[in-house]
Amino acid sequence: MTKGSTQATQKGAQGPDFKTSTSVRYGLDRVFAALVFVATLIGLVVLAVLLVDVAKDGVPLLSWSFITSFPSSIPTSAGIYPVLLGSLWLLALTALISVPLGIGAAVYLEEYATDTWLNRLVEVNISNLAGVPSIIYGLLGLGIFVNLLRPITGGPSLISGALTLSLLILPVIIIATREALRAIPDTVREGGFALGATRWEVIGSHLLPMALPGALTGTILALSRAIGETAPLIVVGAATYLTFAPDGPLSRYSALPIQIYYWVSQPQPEFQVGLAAAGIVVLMAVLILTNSFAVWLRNRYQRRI
Amino acid sequence: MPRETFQQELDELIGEVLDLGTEVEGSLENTVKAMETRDARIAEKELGVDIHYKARGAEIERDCMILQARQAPVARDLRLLYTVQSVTNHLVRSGTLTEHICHAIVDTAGCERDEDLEATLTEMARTARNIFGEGLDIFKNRDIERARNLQAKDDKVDLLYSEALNLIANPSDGGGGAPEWRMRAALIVHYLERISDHGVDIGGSTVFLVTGERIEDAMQQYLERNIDQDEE
Amino acid sequence: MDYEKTGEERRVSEISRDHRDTRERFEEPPSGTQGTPASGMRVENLSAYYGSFKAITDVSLDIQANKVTAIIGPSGCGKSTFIRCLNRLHEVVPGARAEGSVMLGEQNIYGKNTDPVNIRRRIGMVFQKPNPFSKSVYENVAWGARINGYRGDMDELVERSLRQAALWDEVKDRLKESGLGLSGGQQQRLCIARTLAVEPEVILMDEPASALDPVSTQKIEDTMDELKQSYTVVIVTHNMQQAARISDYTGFFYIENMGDPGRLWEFDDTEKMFSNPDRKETEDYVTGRFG
Repeated sequence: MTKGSTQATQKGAQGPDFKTSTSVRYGLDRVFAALVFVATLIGLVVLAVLLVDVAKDGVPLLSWSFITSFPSSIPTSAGIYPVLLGSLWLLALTALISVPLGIGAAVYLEEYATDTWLNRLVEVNISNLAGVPSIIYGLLGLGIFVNLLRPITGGPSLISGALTLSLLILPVIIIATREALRAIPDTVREGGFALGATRWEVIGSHLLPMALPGALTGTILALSRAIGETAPLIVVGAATYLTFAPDGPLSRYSALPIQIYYWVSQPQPEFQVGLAAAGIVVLMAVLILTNSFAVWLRNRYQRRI
Repeated sequence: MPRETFQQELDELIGEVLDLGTEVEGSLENTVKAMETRDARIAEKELGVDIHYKARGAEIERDCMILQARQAPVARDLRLLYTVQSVTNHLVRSGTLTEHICHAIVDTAGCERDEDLEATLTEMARTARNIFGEGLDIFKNRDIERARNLQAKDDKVDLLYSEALNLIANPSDGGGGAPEWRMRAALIVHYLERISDHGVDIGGSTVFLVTGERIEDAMQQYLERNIDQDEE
Repeated sequence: MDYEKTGEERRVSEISRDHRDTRERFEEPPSGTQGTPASGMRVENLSAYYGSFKAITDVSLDIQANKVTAIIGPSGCGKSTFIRCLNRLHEVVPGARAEGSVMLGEQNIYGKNTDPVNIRRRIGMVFQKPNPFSKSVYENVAWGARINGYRGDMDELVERSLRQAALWDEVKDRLKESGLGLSGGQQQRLCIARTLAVEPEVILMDEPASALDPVSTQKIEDTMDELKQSYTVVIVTHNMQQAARISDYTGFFYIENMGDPGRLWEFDDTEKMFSNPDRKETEDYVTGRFG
């Protein structure tokens, strides 16, 4: 009985239909690798130069008194205490407002809403909102939180600033959380439903824990942006020169970036170069601390899985 | 079409069976001729042929087993392999029996014989050859309508069988031929009846192949099913 | 298996051993078969849609209690859609709906007042690709029971379910480790265990072994023989030999042309479907002439 047999072609990989030389291809490969390396290098070098420059000017001025003093027209006794507090207050309030709202909205849009034209419209517009210049949010905040809701917010207060910043970063949090939820395969949802679970049981027990790393990453990015915002805060009435530390959500306030901006626009080099750099260093320190906390939080969740 | 190789192997297998069948038919033809012309030399050609048939049968059986192991057949493929083995068995047995008959013809070449009995035997041989050929044909063409009729033709063989036995038991006046020849005649009668049974069984196996049921239950049901299909 | 036998004897005893016979000669009673008695299901005129596309049309069949029913058919013929209609998982996809009735015992699962969440507890499902939760082995099994309000001894339930899924021995020392750390075959048995933990009446399986290696597949098939003692099993499979080996009844789904809805073409004892089916398309499919 004949077994089916085919005549295997005896041509090797370098058969007559293919060019034998691969050196050109390897050459192109190396050129491309070099190009992308240089691109990375440029970014890193520029960043390093910036950091070194700032550190050079700012670090010598760092001291406990710098952190605990109030701004002053005398460079040597000027400090960042009230604006540091202001930034920390803003950070806390913005996080408290925007994170639950953002994650909640993302869960609704991704898990509960049906695929209608309205839902698709909302999705497109959220992406647009993420790209709107921050000063526009400042104007919006001015109109609504500072003026319209003055009885509740007390006008140009911390809470108005925090609400404005929350609006600003909300789209980013929503998008990041939605992406994280979308990345979870439907098999997880099916497995949950197949055991007789309600939608919320599946979301709460499985989807949110799995989406948390991605959502936290988006939140980190968003909050980092919020800490560094200057223009919208000025529009909603953050003070440029503050002599008292904020003491509650309804208090007047200022923020680190605003102080830095103010110092940079002073003619004296002690302010323009030295103190401004010191302020930047503190701002970056706050950023790094916040990021590290969020990264630690994310890792903790990932390890539990 | 998927499983083309498998289908090819199945077709080749059937071809081998049909080839074997043709050979056995040829032996049977020679046997009939030898009896009709009383020429033992024709019968002599068939001596020792059963070894060859057994070898061919074993080969076919082995091919069936290999196909079964490698291809995991189900439904009609499985029934085909089963039928091939069954038919091959019938063919090989028939070949062996034919060879035995030829032996008997050769050994009693010079003996005196009973005219009536000889005529009956020759008629039986012709009928057995026809039934065998018909069975093989039914298998080749999967024509199960004829399988039913084949059962009827087998009745004729049974009649001849009884007649022959009767003639053997009661020799006609004027000598019934040599005792040696009479004894061999009894054996030949029996072998021929068996060969024709094998032919009928080949037809019956074909019915199983096509319908999946034994001929006794199947014929009625199959005819009914045909009617239903015509009505649809 | 008795390894002291010589090679020749062992081969003969393996050939003559009927797979099903050994399964029925239990040395010990199957562990933990308490729970609701299994019900059969009756499907009547079931059609299913994705939006305006009709995936299956007018399917009617009986699923016998405590038996394994296999569903076979070529790709795209609606087997997965059909089985998902049996536990109302089909309608979770936006825009999907089903018409007709599916009886679980005396109750129509598509009835006006029937709660789909409750139905899905009573009719469990195991999927093609193992999908354990990213939790510990223990939690994987316990979670379903917990949300359905199980009030008994959870440790006992987890152990019993893992034993029924033939996984207990392999994980009893690893209950707190992540379910995702198990091998593919173990993960699938974990999914079976968590389905058993909510004490269903019917277990649906959508090609449960197609992503697994032969040894894991064999373990799952062995499990199925024991499962049908206490549950009704419906299994969709592409593997013809598997359907022939483990099922009592087989249903063949078929579509005549691309874009047509699938329909149930033939349904009968497995023995008949694989030795002598009635319809030509069924025979062409089981002999591998298309699919």
